[in-house]
Amino acid sequence: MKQQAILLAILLSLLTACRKTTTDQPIPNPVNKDFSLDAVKAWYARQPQNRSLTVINWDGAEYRENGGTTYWLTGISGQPIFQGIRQGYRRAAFYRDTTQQIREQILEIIPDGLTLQRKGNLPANQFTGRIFVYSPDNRLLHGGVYAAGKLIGLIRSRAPQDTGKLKTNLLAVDCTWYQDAYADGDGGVTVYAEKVCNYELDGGASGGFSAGVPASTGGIGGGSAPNLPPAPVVSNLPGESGPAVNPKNLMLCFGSIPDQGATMTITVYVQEPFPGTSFNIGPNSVGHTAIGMTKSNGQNSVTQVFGFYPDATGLDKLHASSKIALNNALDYNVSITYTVTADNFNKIVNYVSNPPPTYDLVTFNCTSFAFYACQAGQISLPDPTTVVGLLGPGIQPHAMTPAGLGEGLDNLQDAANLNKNGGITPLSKGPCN
Amino acid sequence: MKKIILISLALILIGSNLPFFSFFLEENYSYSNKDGSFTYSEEGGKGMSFQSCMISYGYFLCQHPEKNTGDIRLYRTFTVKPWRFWEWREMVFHSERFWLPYQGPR
Repeated sequence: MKQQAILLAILLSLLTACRKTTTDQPIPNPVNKDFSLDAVKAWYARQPQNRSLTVINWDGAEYRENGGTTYWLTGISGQPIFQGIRQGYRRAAFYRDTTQQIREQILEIIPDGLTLQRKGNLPANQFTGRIFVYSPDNRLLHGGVYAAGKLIGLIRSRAPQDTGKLKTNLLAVDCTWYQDAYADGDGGVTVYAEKVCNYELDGGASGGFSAGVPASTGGIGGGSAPNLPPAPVVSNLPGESGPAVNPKNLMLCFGSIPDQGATMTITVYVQEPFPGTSFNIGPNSVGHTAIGMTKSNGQNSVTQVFGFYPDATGLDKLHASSKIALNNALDYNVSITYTVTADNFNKIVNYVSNPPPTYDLVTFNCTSFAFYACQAGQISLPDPTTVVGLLGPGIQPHAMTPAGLGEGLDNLQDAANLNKNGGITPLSKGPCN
Repeated sequence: MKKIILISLALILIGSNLPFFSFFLEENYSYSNKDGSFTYSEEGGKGMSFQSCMISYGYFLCQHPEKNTGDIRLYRTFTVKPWRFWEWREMVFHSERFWLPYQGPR
């Protein structure tokens, strides 16, 4: 009995060891004197003091690392007024750019009020709320909307030529970009555009913290901002989030945008069964693979995110007739995006419009569907085939699995179109008639 | 003999609550708003979770401001079945969905 307990403890510790590590905690101070806190203070003292009212709390400075970027994070004075309420806090982040020069960015971190009320203070990796990133001269650079630590929306100034201090009134750019305003910690009114429900990761960078900011702010706040413009274009029809959709009707929506001049992308989203490991089962059960298709021409954009499912319950799910279901707001671990030609996009549209009639957990599942859909469009995904089931003499069943695909994507070290940080899938337009 | 039965029952109870079996055993919990203009169904063990439902509902309210007034509560359209011992893990660790008010099929 004692031996079994020891074995169980070892097994649990091994499982724990398989988890990915997170690095949003303070780390030991840098060895390099050029980036010590004193060096940062000296650099700051040499800068033009155009923010005379800003007081930096150097005593509370923390040295952090995130995504390979190290930086100093300090508290600064001022508090934003968001949605009419003074809330959130400000931080200054000091980092070194590619030329090793010290740079500064101001972060305004506004946790979601409802989440705070319901769950209290959450750890950084569960942050829900908004982060606004400013340059030292108080220009809004970019930002993000976070839910449970995942980036679910983007924040930008209205246009690149904008100063970030616009004086326009509230205006919706389209059904996914909303313009809003708040009073930043310096007392100025910042008008910003917030892209909700479109969860592209910010690869743009702007030389600093687009990915480096600790995922520790933000919030979806129930998804409804005050002062919304008049009813936008309806994109979620009643019932479209139901269990099954007609794939032909889903694909029909892409016909509303002409091929000529359009950009078409395919994204494969993988929810690994046991994120960070190659286990075929785990906290996310057997995991899932979804496909996202987007067609846009600058003025209009259509996105559909969907997956291949068994149309059955219980053990019948092992082998059953298939169905296509929307995968809105799916919490995924890894994704990869491909830009395809109109010809290849339409081949995928044809494949999805006529999906295989049968789902089989081993021989043709959600991952197989994504793999062959991509193959129809001349996209070669990593081979997602893994050994499944219990190994026995001469019995080694293989299947395409989310774990296999996730591992294959993880091994694509330098792919620019790869997102290993995970996120939440965008919401679909839904069926068209 | 009694000991074997007890151990077997415990193993069945624990085993049936393992996440792997949620794909096979877990009910596809379904939800709706008051007037049924928003509906959602989870896919147990295949990505579509209660969290996805909440985000989708938030987006729905954002897209339909006229629905963001009055009773905006989300209702469960499934009944709680406490005898389903294979769902006890969900009832204990992810109980939010079970506390939603119930609304029968429309």
